[in-house]
Amino acid sequence: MSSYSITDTEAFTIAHARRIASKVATDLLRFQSLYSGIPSDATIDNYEKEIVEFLRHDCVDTVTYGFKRGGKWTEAAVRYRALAGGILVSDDDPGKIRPRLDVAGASFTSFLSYNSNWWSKTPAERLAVENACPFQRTSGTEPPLESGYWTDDLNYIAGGRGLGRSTVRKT
Amino acid sequence: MSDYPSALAKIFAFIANDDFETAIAFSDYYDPATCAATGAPVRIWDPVNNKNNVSALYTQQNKEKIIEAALDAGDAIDSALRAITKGETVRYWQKVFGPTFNV
Repeated sequence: MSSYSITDTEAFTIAHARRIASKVATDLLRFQSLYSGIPSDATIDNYEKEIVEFLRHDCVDTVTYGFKRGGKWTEAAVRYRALAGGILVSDDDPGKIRPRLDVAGASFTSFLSYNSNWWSKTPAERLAVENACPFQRTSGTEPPLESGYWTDDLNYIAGGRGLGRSTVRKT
Repeated sequence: MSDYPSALAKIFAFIANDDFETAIAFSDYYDPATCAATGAPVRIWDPVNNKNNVSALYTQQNKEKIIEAALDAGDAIDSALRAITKGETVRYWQKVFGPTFNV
């Protein structure tokens, strides 16, 4: 009697990247629905297109979207961390953005950090990825939280890769 | 109003954001300012009787459940609006309208 093992790997495609990105875009749309129309549809579309590019090239480490005030993230923010390939977690539906958080005087923005794949690319390859994005980011440092701490809640998975989401909880 | 999905999403977002702080009253038969004072968590006034809060039996817990349901419905509608396949879109709408909903 013989035994066999089968290894089935699914290639990560742009369709998988779009599926994950659509869930990020839904979270941003929830902010729009619950926080006076901010961010705009155009901003959401741009962030969605950008994260598709960074996911398909596996270049993103973390990306945060939310309301920032005085250089710090308010409670109304979400952070996504790229999950390692092959990780076994459930694929969740998006949402669960909390309403009625204090965003007075805050503006909606984003901060993205690259993973090691990004820095191993040639400058020309990095430029090609950036040029495929609808806007260019400038360099900066990750803003801290005004208060509270990040806690993991949802995961968006497709094609063996994904993003793990964190939201802010009060201490 | 021709964009029914967005209109529906706005209703649920209003419920979630307002937290039932706003009393719901109608000015057809009386001045809404004359509705009886009450400490009830939800105030939805009878359109023809300004002393009858038709939601008087709703408790704080009931109110929180309604708000949670409004948030879930809003999540599903916004998810449907951004979904990239018809199958996913229908699945999200079924969370709002029930499993028999189809297009």
